Amino acid sequence: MSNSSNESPYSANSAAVRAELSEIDSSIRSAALFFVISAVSWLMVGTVFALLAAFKAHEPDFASTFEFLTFGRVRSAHLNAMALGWGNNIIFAVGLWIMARLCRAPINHKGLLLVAGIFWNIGLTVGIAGILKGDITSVEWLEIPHYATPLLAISYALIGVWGVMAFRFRKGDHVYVSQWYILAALFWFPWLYVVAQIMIIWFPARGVVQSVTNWWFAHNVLGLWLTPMALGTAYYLIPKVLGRPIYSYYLSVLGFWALAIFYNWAGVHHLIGGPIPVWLISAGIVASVMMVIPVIVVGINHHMSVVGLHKEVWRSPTLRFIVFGAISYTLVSLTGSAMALRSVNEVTHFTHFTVGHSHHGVYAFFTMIMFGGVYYMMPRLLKREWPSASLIKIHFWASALGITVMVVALQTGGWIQGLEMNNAEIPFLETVQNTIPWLKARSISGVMLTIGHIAFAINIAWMLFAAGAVRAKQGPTLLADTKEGGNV
Amino acid sequence: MDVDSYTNILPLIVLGVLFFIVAVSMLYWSAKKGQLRNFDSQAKVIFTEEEPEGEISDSFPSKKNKK
Amino acid sequence: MKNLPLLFCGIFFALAFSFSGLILSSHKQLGSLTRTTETLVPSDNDPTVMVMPEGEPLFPAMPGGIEQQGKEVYISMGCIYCHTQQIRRSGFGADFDRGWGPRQTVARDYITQDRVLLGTMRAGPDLANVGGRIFQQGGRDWHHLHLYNPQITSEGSTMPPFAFLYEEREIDGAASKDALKFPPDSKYAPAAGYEVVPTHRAKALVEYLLSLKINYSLPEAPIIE
Repeated sequence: MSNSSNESPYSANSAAVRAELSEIDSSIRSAALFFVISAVSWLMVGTVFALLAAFKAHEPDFASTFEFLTFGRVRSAHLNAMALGWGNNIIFAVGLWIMARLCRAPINHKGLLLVAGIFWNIGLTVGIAGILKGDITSVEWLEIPHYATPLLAISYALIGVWGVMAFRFRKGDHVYVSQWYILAALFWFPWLYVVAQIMIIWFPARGVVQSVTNWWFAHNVLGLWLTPMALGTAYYLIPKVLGRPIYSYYLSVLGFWALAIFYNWAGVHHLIGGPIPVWLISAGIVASVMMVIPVIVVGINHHMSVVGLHKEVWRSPTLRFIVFGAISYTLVSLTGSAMALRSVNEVTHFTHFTVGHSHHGVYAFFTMIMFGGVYYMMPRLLKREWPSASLIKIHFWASALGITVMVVALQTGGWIQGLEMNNAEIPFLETVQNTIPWLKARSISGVMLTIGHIAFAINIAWMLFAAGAVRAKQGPTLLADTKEGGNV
Repeated sequence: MDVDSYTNILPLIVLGVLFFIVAVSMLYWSAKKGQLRNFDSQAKVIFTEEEPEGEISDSFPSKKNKK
Repeated sequence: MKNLPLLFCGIFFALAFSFSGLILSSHKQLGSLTRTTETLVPSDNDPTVMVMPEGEPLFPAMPGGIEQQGKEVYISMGCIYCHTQQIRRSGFGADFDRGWGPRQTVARDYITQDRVLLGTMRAGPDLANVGGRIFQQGGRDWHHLHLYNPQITSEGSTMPPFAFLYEEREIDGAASKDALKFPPDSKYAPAAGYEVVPTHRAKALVEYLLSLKINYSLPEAPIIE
């Protein structure tokens, strides 16, 4: 690496030195690129639905003559495009790439991944078209109609099998904590999904057992799928970019098992005050509060890993996003634990506070970390630089400010809404109207996020398709030597 | 809480105890097999020759570098 | 811990624990709930055992055909994303003080539904007992106007209009008895010589809303006058 101070490591090193990682990277390239392109396409689709839904929430007459664009459907199309389209595809890209790298072996069965990926995206397209058409199930987080879900479940299981095989046939004896998170999530999600489908849609369980299953599933999509994938990515990339091992490996292990044990009980807090046995709700509350342990553990570990290297974090596009996401993880999880307390929940339940909270988790935490992962992964897959550092900065600022405005607006507005709703002296319609300014602020934040997403998409398209121009550019954008100090 | 509501969560208590026993015996087994030895060294497996420890591998371009 | 079976065992048990604790045990506890009479009486043979008196109606009632169709419309419009169907106990929130229902809803209230629509958002009011609050023919007319355009009945509401469930047509001979009864001088009323009539879906949806009633006691949740 001595001769590479001003150039990309890829152009600098001889083929012999470039052995392992590059070989692994190129073995997963086509599959990962397929998933990145799918993910970004769904991100844009989801953004359009998000803007529509946000705008309709305070302008009910907007586009109200089209049945397929009614609020309930657009909102659900947004959720599914983002969670299953953007979220899952980007997990398949970044998570599997990290898995392949950590298993230290070029991947086998690339065809399996691609076939599963194509099925997944076809199933999802059919599902979202079904939602807009009116076949929506009205089960939260499971809106996709029954004719599309088997395809999703099968393609999902194929990818899970691939992950386990990659782990099984890894080289060497070493296992890193990211692999645990990714492996566990790959196993948990299909189980959750299949159980929820069977007990709610195919053979509906009696009465509110459906609701318990629903929230066990929906909360675990966050807790046992998106969260471990994002944490696994952060645990890999923070030390990787900084070139310094994670602060404490013990803590990372403790954090993993604490998350595995507590998180999957927490979902029932969505039913506090609802018509289910009190002991179930109490179990959910206890687990939600116990989540403080893994959250603090992960928070300390991440914080101590970057301490003293704040400038380096700021100068790395990857880490800017990832550290923003890691900080958000601590904040959103502590908010979540507080929201599970009965006295707090009495106010926040049934309000926009919860909507703000879920965006805090899925966007400020999960999505920001995945953006960071993409910024690190793509140059290594393509052996090509990011064409524009300015677009990355626009993306970061638009996303970071946008999501901050959104969370503050929805949670302030939601808290006021909850207090007013609990005061029967205030007519209900007044509580609705008092949320409108906050919903307008949310629409503005949505526009900011859209700007960020467009910058992101342009940068990726430019990188993929304008190869000649990028290669000709003097000096790498992101892989440059930093010893002289980056200028931001 | 009367006795009846305890019988409702009885399976849960049994499960919890079982789960606890499994967890403890797994921990014991892994300690005995030496899985916990050299624990912290596992944090270094992410570094390779190509992307070695002690080198920052991602940053915005510095103005000095642009020619 | 670098052993796959060991790691896998832990991963498996973590989820198996919550699956059995939350899903299987609630299924065990609630899965066999049946309909019952409003109150129970001591058995003739053994006075410590409470049984259902004979000849009394069972609750919750089974949904009717058109109501079931209406529920399909409710589901396909995504009403659940702004309306809940659950009443919390007195003193927890203001569900009682707002007059949304005469008692809290309990697990047994939902056992006849093959899709339970509890909901988690109240951008609009709770609907568990909407049929008990807004009822009979006046309620039917109100619901139709409200669905056609919420601004007619609830000015300033953020609920979207569902005018696409209605048909505006020229009055041919006598006006339809189903035609919406707009308040005088309503700016949403059709032009003279035209009327707005509900489609079958709108009618079914309104029948479903009218059928949502918590007007019966259950042994575990009596209505206290």
